[in-house]
Amino acid sequence: MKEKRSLKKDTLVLFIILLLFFCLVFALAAYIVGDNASRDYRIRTAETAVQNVERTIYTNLVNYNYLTRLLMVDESIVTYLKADEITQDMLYEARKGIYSIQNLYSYIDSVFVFRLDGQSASTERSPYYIDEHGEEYERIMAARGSTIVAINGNGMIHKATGETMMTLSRAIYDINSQKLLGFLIMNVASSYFDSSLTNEMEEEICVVDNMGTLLCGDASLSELYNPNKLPDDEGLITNEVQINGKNKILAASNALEPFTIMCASGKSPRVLSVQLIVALVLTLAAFLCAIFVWGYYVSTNIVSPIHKLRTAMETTKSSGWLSPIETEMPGNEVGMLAENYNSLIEYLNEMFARQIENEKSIQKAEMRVLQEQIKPHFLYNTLETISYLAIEEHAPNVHDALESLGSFYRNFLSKGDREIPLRIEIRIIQDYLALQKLRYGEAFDAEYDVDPDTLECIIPKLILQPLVENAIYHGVRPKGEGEKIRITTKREAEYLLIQVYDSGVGMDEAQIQAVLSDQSYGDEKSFGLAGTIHRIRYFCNSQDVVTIRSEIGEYSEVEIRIPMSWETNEGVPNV
Amino acid sequence: MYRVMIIDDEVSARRLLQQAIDWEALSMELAGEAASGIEAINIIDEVRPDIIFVDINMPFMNGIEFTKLATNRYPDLMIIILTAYDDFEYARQCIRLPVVDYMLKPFVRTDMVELLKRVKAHLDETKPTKQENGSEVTVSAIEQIKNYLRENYTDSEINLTSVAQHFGFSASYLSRKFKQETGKSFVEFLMECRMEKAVELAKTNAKMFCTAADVGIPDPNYFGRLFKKYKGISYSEYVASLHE
Repeated sequence: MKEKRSLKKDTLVLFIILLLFFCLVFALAAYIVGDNASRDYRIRTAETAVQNVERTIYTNLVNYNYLTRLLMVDESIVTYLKADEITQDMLYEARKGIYSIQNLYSYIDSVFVFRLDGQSASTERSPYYIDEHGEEYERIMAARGSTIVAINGNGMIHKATGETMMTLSRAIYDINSQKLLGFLIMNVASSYFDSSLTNEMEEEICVVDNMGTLLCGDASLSELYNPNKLPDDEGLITNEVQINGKNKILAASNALEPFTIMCASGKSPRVLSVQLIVALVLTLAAFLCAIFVWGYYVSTNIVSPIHKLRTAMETTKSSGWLSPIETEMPGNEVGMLAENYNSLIEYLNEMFARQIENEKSIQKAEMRVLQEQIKPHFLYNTLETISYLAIEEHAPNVHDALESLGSFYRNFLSKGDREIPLRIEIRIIQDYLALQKLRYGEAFDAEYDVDPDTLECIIPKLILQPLVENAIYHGVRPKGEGEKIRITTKREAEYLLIQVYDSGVGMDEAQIQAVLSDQSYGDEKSFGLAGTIHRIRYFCNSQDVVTIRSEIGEYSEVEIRIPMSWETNEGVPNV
Repeated sequence: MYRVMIIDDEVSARRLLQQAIDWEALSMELAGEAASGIEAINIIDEVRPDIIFVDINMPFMNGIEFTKLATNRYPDLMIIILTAYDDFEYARQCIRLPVVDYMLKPFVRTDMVELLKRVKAHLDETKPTKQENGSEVTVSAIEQIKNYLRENYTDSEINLTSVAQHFGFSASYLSRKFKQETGKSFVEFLMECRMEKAVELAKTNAKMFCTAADVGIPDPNYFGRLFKKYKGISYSEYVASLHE
């Protein structure tokens, strides 16, 4: 069996699923937008940091370069370089000259000025190892006076402490004669770089040379140095990297030879932009509102009406009556559905009513045919003619009999009605008993105890006559003479009570049961009594309306209780 | 004493009603009877009934037609329709006749007595002392009426009351004056007009029922009786005698 599902429940579940789906999509959208924003932000911060450091270093290099130029033209140094013979004074003057220039700017660790003969004047305060004839020397000379920036002079110079130095080296020429005089090496302490990074402490940042040697900053970052991943022409490159399990953006620049500046930014923007959040929240709110409105609409216009419709149909079904739905319905398709259902019900009811009407008219027609066969007015006119003859012949009892007979037949036929007032039924019995008394005059006397209130009650036609007939033929006649037949009608609380009593031979229990059981209905012998009881039960739509009391040899009494509402004195039956 | 008239084509029915009821006890008397509606129209002014029993099923003019005519001319008349048909109730509703009751045949005496008591009570209540009013009947008016009758006797529904109403006289006053002026009653005069014409038609060898209809008495039985009374011999004998 297919599981029955409730539309209402389904709609609710669907509603919740939709709600969750919308929330999920919203969260995803927020994440994507936020992620992009934070990526952009990281790139921007990393690039900015790199550029800032680069700018600082560049500015400083320009300054250092300026100092080297000052050194080149310093009189004491030029004198020292040009002298054929070096005096202690000269050396001293040269050193003094170097000092005075060196002190113009910070972080300069030492300056070496070499003469072409290999002698030098320097301001070193700790020992240096210098290889003054290596490859680097050739490069300095080849540069023909331009400044070469390198780390530790590309291996030409080492501080004994092992401290990394930035070296600016250049050849010195005579200003006037353009004759080569020597060269100089300016060592700048790497702590100078640290000072250039101080402003950028929020990011992990480092400066390395083209060998990957760390000059300053984050050591772990320097390990990521990859010469193959540097920009071709001096510019910026960004990569996504993982540092300590965190996604970061690495920006690297080698615009300043020989340095490479790297910066990794894992920073998220402090907050998503307020407008963005407001927009997203508003969108979500709008979505929720839309869902609620839609849900409400569906609920009030479709789900609830359909539920009501179903309940109403269920009620109709269980009531067993084809009553139309009276629940108020909206004017949409569901309402139309209810209307269509109602018109179907109406159509069915009409059809049933027509069917019943047909049935009735067929029965009426049949009764009419029967009456036509009897030709009652011929009978009545003839009875009247015979009555006149009886009077002419001075036979009043014949006239009486004829009158009873005429009256009996008229009421017996009753225009073919199936239900008649009790008054008419009593009249039938009176005429019937008057006629029967002509035949069995000695056998019984008739008594009537009729409540006037009951006379207009509508009862099925000919329910008493068969009882009275039964009383005569099976009650008083077998017994003999002077018996009694009594008809009693009473108005009781909710019943019309009718009793037919005879002081005849009575019935035993088996006979009573046989008559009262519906099985004997159709049995020809007891058709009169049993058939009548069947009709009364059918009319009252109840099995419990006929009682028979009897005592063998004493009496029998049939009692009928027809449910009746006594709202008016007319006694309108309400069956 | 209220005057009762019985109209039924069956003599046995008239006799039964006459004898089965103790009229005296109801302070009623049988004032006359008629075997057809046509006859009743002709003699009703002489019988002057208060109550009429009329059978519904009669030839030439049935009980319903008669009742319509009579209630129109005699508004105070109590009419009781006798019928063997149960459905008369419907017929009554259709034609909506005032002051009419009905009794099913064969009647039961107790029912009939009950009905008559009711009718009597109604009459006791409503019947006023009859006031005759209307303009004075002059000699020239009598002449006018005689001419009117000679021209209109073929109308079977004509009678003293209809003529009196037509001319604006009271019926009984006209009846007295008419007899006084002409020496014949109104009914006798109308009858003579019709019989003279009937004699003429008899000479053309016309069949009795045709003659009867032509002279305004479409009930040939009634016409036959009238003709015999007028000529001393029956219509067929008269026609036969003309051909001898």
